[in-house]
Amino acid sequence: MNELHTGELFNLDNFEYVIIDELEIDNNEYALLANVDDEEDIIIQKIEEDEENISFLPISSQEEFDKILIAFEKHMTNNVEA
Amino acid sequence: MNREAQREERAQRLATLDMQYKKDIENAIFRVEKEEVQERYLEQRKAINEEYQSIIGGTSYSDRLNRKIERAERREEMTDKNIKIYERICQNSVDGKTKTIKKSEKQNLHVGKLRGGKVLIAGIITVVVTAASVPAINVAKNPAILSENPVVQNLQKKKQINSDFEAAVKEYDVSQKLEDKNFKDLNGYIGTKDENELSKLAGIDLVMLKIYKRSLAAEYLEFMGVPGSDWEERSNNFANSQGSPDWKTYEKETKENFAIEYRAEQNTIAKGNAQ
Repeated sequence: MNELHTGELFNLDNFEYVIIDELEIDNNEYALLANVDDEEDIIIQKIEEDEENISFLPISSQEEFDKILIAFEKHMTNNVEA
Repeated sequence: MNREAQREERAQRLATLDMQYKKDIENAIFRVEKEEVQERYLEQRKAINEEYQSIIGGTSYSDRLNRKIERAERREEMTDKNIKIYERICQNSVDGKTKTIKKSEKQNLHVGKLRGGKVLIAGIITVVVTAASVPAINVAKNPAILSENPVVQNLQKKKQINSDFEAAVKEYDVSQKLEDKNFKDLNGYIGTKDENELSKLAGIDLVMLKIYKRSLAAEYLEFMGVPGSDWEERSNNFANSQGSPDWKTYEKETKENFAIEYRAEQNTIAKGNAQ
């Protein structure tokens, strides 16, 4: 069970990103993050956690990215409409 | 009420009016009465059309076509912009190294700011996915697909036809043909006689002849300083100044011949210059 929540802020590469949404797909955890100073700077990362740390891993391929992006789009649209 | 509903309502009102018109015409025995019915019918149709045009914001066919092209081009620009965002998100997400953060360093964004941010990002993701999904998610790899969009192609084709048509009218040169057929001194004839008859006599295409006549009238109104940015606006302004609702009605009512007047004015000026 991941401990990541929407609204949490992280400093990645000296930029502040906020978690906008999280999803579990094929037993993997993914997070969609946005730069708080640039709404078009969006990033999707695979999440791995241990007791002390959270790791943000790059997506392995463009095909995987497309699949996850569409899943996030559906999830976010449903949440916003709800 | 949405556009479709407005269109249907207008169509229904026009259909009812048309039916009523047919009945009224059947009942109108005398010629004068028939003309009155026709006039009333045309006025009502015009009022419905004007009301509809004011709702949809359209005027002439070319205005509507230009607006459609602008919208399609804007859509294309937007799609291009959204595909760039898609590429950026993809690059950010696929490239790069793993970053590890200590859980103790986590902070939270203010809840109000987050709510606004979520809606904004959801909107961006939706348009990005839509742009990138037409017709396939990896459209970014092939931007040429955008220029193959049938809507854009169709509109561009119509624009091309219009411009080709204008060029063809110019090339056809009715004025020169009238001169060639010895109608040089009879340019005024163009308005005084039936267009069909003149078309046959001079061997000039009827459509081109009508366009030529219209262009003379347009030049005349411009020459007279009638306000308006184009023929449609200028001719309607002129008709209004004469107490008619629009140019067509005015032309029908008065049978005014602007071609003759314009030629006469031009001839007077030419003669004055020659002296």
